[in-house]
Amino acid sequence: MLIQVNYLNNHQAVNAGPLLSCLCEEVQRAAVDPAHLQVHLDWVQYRKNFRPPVDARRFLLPDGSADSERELAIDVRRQVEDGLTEAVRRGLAYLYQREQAVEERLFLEDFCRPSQSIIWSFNRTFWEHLPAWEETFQRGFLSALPGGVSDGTHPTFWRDRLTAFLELLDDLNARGLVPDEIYVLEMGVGTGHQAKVWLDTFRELCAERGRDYFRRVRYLMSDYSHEVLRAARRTLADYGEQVSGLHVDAVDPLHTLSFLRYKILFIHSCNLYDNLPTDEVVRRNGKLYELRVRAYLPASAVATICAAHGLQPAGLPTAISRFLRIGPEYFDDPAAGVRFWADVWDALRLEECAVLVEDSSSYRLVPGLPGAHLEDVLADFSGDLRMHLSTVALQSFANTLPLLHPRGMFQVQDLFVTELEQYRGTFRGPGKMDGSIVNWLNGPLFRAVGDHLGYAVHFEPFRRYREKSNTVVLTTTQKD
Amino acid sequence: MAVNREHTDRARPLLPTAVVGSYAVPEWLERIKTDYFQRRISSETLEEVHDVAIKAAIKDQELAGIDVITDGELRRDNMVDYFAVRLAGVEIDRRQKAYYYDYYDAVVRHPLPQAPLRLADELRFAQRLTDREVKYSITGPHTLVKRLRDDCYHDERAFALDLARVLNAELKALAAAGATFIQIDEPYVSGFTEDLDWAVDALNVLVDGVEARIGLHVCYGNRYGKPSWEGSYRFLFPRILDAHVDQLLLEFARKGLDDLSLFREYPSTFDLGMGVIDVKDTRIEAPEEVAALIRRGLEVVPPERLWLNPDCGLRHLAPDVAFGKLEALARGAAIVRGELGAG
Repeated sequence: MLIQVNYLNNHQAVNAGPLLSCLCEEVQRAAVDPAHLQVHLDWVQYRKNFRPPVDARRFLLPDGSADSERELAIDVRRQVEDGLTEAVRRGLAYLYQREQAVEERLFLEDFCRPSQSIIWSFNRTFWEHLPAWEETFQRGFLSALPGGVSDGTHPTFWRDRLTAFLELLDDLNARGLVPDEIYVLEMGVGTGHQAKVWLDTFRELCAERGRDYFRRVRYLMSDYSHEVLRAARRTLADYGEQVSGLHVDAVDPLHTLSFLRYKILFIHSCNLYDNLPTDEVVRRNGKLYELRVRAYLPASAVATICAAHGLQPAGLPTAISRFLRIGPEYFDDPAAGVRFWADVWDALRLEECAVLVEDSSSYRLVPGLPGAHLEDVLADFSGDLRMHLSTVALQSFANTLPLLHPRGMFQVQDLFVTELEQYRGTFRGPGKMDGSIVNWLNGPLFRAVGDHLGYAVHFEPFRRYREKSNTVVLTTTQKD
Repeated sequence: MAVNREHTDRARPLLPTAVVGSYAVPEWLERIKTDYFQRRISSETLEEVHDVAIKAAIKDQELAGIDVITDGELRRDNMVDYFAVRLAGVEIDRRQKAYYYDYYDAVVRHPLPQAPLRLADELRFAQRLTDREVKYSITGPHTLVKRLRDDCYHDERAFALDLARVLNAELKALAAAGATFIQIDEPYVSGFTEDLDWAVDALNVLVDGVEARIGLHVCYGNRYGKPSWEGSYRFLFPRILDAHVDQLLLEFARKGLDDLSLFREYPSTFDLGMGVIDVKDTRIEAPEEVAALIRRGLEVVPPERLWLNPDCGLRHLAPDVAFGKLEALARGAAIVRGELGAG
């Protein structure tokens, strides 16, 4: 039995003794072969998440039969909860005796890639019906962020960045290469305050230095939520027609903005990519597995939710799917709809299994992007690993780069893992933030995709501007 | 001008079609090239692969119906290193690369000696494989100066003129080997417009006494299949009129046609090699779209002075896309030839 301790980086003080005793006793009691059993001890930092305290994961061959690997994942943060011993026992029984878990679950979907899971429908609903959520709970979504503040509006950071941008424009101007219209694209606009900081700061800098660039700025706010765009426009009312709001799918900005191919001089986003669907892969003993998930509600939660909202358990799946299609208005009282939504969301869990990838050498980082292979990224990394593929974020990144002016700046403020080794020490998601999902982003994959497309990708911690920030700033420059 | 066009021009159709230089580099060839730089395969093996790939590239161009073809530049890692390793006096301290397309760190520490680059061998290999006219392209002195580290001349103009002197002998050797059309590639001048004056001086030294049709290709870059700069060709005029070249090859399909008016504004004797295929877009153009662009070109250049080509090299396109685009080019040209009664 291999025990992987994944929490030491941040939580060395955890007393894992009782847990390990329980584990050894139960493995001995179950009389299982520990040779292919891995136990992961994680600290799931998100108070709301998709994991039960003890999670049993099967490894499967492509035909669905069992592979030899097995895994138990335990959240040490919740080891003090009642029923740990029972949960470990149930998990081992599930892994070795092919029984269904004793705990009853209401499954909301079949096993699928994590990026295809119903959890992303909940996430989308959150952004599409954000005002209803905020009104019901009387708090803005930013309050869910650590410290309750977005790093996307830090004034010193923006002054530094826009000073560099202004110098870039000066350099182009010396060669007569500044276009008449200076396009700026913000992806995922939040409250509009980041756009306001950008425009206010750039206007000040241009005035200080006597440049006329600001007048030529065309600021494009893009988001998939009409509600969010409307709110952001209100924040930017003073800038009139200099600002446009565009309904853009983050997966493929080029699709909507192809008329601006190679023309946008500044592209930026903040905490957008960490909220986009992602898949995960696991490498175990040199073999590559894709993660599969299915969302479920524990039986206890089903009972509670039904009692609270006057539903029959048999009708709950239908109520959830209709809610996801219609929104809170599915209920006569939309506020009651939001509370139903929040209760379901809180209780939602993911069951996981891993399926062997037969031809791992041809596994592409971005579908349809030839030449950028996962194997090349993993080649320099030894040992077992579980990591995100940042699936949709990488697609978005690859589909945004063609919009960037050849000398333009592309900046992403987000939660990036910058070395694969970082996946070993800390849980990286998914977690729940209010009604949305957060996953860390796999920086080395962004580096590989950028490299393949002719861009050098750089990472810089935001801590220079805010000491406790986890944000990392990705920037790109054209490769020579 | 020392170029004898009567001597070098062959019987070509009206509105000749040509490639700019490179042809699609398939994913498998990229892998093999990188394997070579990581010392996993020998240079002999790589050369065998190149020979086979070039034969296929030439066949593709013929099948697509292109009149003036190249070897696809498939032996070249990029537009600089191929020449850097052959130029005597250019030093490359580290020959390994993580990716074949990366640039070497190449440095000039002493004045360049006059020594052959033996480019004609490459030309002859292609000529043996086809009865079509073969164009040969080289990277121009301005672009080389911008990419090679100069620890000797400490003056870009002087460095460029000396490079031009060395390469001039090579161009004469190519002409002696049967090159009828030599193209000089100078994409960097679009990003360093302030260098145009000395870039033209170096160009004229480069082509002096070379008995072949000389083309000058200026684009906005195609590194990794994307532009390196954006702007207008207006910076070229009127200085470019002093260049001793027969043809200007410019990109129009991606950039738009606004700059065509420069050919009306500044009458010249140049032929126009008009880019009518966007090499930075994977969508294959319809022949009718290509024909529409050609008609716009004919508004400013008479048919006997209009050539048709993609905006730039095709190396970053998938082979099937590159082939489809060349077919569209040939068919678009055929449509307009028919309209002119020259079909």
